[in-house]
Amino acid sequence: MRRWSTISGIRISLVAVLIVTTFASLLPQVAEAASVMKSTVVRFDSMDTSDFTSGTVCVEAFTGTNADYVQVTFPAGFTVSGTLGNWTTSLTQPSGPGSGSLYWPSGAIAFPNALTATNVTGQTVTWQFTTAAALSTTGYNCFNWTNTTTALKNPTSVGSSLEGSVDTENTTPAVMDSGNFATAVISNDQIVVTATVPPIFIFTMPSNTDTFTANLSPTGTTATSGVTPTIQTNAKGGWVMWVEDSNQALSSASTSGSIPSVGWNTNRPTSFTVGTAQYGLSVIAEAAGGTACTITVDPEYDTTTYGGTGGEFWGHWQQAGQCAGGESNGDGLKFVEEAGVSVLTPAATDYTDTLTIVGAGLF
Amino acid sequence: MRCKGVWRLLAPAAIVAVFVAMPGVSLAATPTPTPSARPTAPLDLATSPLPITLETVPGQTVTAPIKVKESGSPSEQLVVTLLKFTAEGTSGKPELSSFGPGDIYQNWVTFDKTKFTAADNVWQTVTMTIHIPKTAAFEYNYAVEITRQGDQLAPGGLQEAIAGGTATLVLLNVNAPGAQRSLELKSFGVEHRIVEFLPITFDATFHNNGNVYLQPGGDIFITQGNHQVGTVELNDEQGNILAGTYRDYQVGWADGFPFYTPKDTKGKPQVDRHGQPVMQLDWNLPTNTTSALTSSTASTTNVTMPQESNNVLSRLRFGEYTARLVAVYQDNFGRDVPITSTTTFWVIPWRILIVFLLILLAFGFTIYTIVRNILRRRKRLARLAKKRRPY
Repeated sequence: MRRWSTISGIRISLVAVLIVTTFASLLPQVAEAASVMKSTVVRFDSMDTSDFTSGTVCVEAFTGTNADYVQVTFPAGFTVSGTLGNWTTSLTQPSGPGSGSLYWPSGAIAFPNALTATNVTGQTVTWQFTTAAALSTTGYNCFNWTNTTTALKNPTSVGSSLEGSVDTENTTPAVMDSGNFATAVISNDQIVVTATVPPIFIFTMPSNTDTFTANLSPTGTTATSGVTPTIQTNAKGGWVMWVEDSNQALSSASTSGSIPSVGWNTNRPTSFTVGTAQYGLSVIAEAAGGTACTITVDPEYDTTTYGGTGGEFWGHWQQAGQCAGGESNGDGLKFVEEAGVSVLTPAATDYTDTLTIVGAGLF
Repeated sequence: MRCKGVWRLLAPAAIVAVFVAMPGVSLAATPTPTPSARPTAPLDLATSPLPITLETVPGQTVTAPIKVKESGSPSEQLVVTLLKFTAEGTSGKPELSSFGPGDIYQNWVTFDKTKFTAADNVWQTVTMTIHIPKTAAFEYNYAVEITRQGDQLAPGGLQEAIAGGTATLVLLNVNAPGAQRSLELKSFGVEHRIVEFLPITFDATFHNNGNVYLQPGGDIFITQGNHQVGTVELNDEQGNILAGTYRDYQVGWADGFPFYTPKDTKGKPQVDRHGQPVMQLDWNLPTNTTSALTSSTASTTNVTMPQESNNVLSRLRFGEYTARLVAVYQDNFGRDVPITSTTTFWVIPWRILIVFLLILLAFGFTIYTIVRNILRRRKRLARLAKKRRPY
């Protein structure tokens, strides 16, 4: 029998290595673990039950090395088409409000290379990069599956927290990064918006005073600057304006002087006689343009068309004009008061009168 | 005794206080504004809706909310006044007037407020309540005027006071026994039987020979031969005809090219010295926004007849056209009563035809000249050949 001390050192070393190797092979195997995606987003364009839907897949990778495949496993209950041709993709960011940030996550970029579907097994669709490429590890990489009619069908019943996953794989293929997502299916993902535009009538009176541009004179007629009430309305029939006068004269409280209104002259305004105390109303059409209604001034006040100086002021409502046949966007009538005096008209600075102008839509 | 004396003093005041405190009661339908300072800001009043049409039966109470908004001033005092109206002429124009002593129906109306403070740009609702007595029948027309307090005060110093306001028309039918809904078509025709280019204007005049207001509707179908070439809507503005009055509805058809359209200068429509719009020829196909008369001048379709082709040349209108009016109104039982009438008109683009004829004449003359020259040359050649022929 040989003693330990007689065995050479080399032989002892070999035996030790053999023993260590044998024990090592008996230890349990530890698989190469995949990393977890930093972030995973899958957005379905329709969340309605039984709808076919397109969608967007976005991931922020953990591993920055080249990936060859992307796998998306849709939640149970979704009907996944087995036809590879239905799983076309797009790397174009959808245009829309907010420079696309509302469609892809803010700051997202497209997947680095085009993707082609290579396999569908159960709920899992596998796409392969045209050439292997590394995904960004500092932001979202996104692509869309674009088929809206045959690729993916939502479950027939509503559900929440429906879980799926997105993986990236290397050329082996072995999973590099993996991330889960959850979605929901609802009975109605649309909101019907209804609105009512009411009939509306806006009357604007720019000023509640109208001043004669000069002192009244027996040698001619003096006019006021004029006031132009305007109307905006969506009434298809148009509008009408009336005028009512409180005194049918320009009156002075201090002297009891009066400049009476001219009388009624059917179908045309009255022409004033110089040197006579007379007072009349002239109405001028003020079309805003681009509107559907047509203005007609009552002929008794229409000095533009029929000449003359002015028409009679009435103590009751008298139609001044109308804009008929359509809507109006600021059409109006300009009301100008004309007056002349005789040499016997009492001098005063307080001659005044009150006109009330009312507008209404046609019935 | 002392107690009785106190009641004597308090009783009239208490009655007045109770009366004033009753909701919806106005002491006067036509309030007199208390004098105040003249406002200085422009008045900008918006009201909705317009007009208000109500249907009820005797003994009932109906309400009509009228929305009012004032813009431009921090706040304004607005005043509500009740007036009446009737129809003036045949174009749906109302004629405002104050109530007379016999107009007892003014007493049926109350407002929840007749004078109120309107804050800037805030919609407020004035509720009009009409208590219909059991003896009421059949049609009553009100106008609710809203004005600003203080505008009517005299400014003095050679200045006129100009007060402005809006009037919301309220049409009320009280369907008492004996109410009659009846409409008669007095005439249907075109403004001009022959036109060079569209638009053509149809006139339909109705007489409401019932005793409640009515709103006719319907279409005018335009055909050429056995093809329908257009449809225009009658009374698309949903105008009403008051009882016992006439109303004329004008609608235009402009679905052709070229067609006349109002001429604008710097966005403002031009008018001639008679106040009529100046028209210009437009060589584009008309759309709803280029309508010359109403918003319904462009054609719609009717599936009951063959439609004209989509060929643009088919819109070059030429020849005789037939327009068939189909108007309807509802009778006492809610049934549609149709009224029909037909008229014809011609579209003859004579200037285009003359140009075409001149071109045709010029072409014919050219052909004639060429043929004649050829024949002359042949004849001359024949003569020359005859002369050179050897004997």
